[in-house]
Amino acid sequence: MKPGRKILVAAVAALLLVSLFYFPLRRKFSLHEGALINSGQSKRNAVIFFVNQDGKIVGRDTEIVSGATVLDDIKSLITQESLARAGGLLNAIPVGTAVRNVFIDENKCVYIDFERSIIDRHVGGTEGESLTLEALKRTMAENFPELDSMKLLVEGKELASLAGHISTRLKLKVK
Amino acid sequence: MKIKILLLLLVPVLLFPDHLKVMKVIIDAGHGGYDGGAVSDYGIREKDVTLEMALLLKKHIEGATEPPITAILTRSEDKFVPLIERVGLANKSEGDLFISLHMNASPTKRDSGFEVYFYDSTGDAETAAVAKRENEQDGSVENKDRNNPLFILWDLAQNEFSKESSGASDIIQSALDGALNRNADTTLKLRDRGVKQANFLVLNGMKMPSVLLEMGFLTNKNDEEKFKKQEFKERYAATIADAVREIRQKFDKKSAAGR
Repeated sequence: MKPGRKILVAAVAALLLVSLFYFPLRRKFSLHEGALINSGQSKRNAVIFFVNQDGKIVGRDTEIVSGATVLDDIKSLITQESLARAGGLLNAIPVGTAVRNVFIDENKCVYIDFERSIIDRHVGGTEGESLTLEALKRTMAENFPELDSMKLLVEGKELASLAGHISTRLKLKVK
Repeated sequence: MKIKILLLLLVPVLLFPDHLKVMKVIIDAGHGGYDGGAVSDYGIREKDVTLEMALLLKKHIEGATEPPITAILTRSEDKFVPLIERVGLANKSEGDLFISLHMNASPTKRDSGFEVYFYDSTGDAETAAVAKRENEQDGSVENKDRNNPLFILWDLAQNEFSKESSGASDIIQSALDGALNRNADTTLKLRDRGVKQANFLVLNGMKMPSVLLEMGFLTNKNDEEKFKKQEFKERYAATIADAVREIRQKFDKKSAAGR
């Protein structure tokens, strides 16, 4: 084998080896019915959503160490979205919003149970509400594509609306 | 049973288009009492602006209009009125047009301007589709209800009002754009964000054409400054009142054509 070909084969083999180690750690979320348990802790790619200065929803890549279940991952992503941002991005989900619990029913609807902070710290207005709902919907759609809908709760109870405008009484489609 | 009676009462409304004459306008001042709504950086509260604008609008609607238009307020003081009670009051008063007044807010201070909304039943349809799929799986009673003729009748009624609400929204949006943005006085300028649809709690179940007006952004300094000025607020309310008169004319013409 010519020296040049040897180098090429070695480079391809090295690339394959790196891919084997790298990509399993950075796979997309996978939500299969009855399989919410994450298999071991690993870093995962995700996209979280914010508002830019022009009032548009924008996604930003992030990575999280996955929790014991996909439900932990959902909670973790929403928590990241409610951390104060630097660099010109604004929070669609109010800063300091806390998630109490997350669960998914058999119809692929995710129930997100918030502390009252999501209401108390909300900026208000129809636009403010729309941006919050849009950010949550896109977080679910982008990172958990097998979900069909989401339902927002506050302290375990049905939430009529975030700030008195848009109805959140029924399940909201995320696709 | 109560719902069935309510839906049956809608039959004549659907058959006879005379309800379109705007003779009684329900003005809804958003928020109130412990629900302050949005707050500006300088402490101006949405509930106070909406109440002031509602009172001004009532004054301008009832003044110098022949034949007279009656304006009914869902609240005339700083008190909390649940959304469902506002809908109930409007329906019980047999209003011809419902206008809900709000001030907008956004995480970004750049967002500015006014926008007019009418009820979007698409969200309901999507939700109904989800519910239908789920109910088909578990065979629950709710699915049967959604195939009930009365449910379909209710859906028809919502669609009927949707057309009128859309028309009323266009007239209000056009009137505000004309009065604020198409004249020599540049101090009045307020961005026109257009007509939009959303699934509003306060518009759900309305038995009349209904709109929700986000008058401006309390989180935007320029918008907020305008709503501190009495002259601007008077002009704004007078423009909505003019729009209401135009809506009545349009509805009356349509009603006459239907006879």
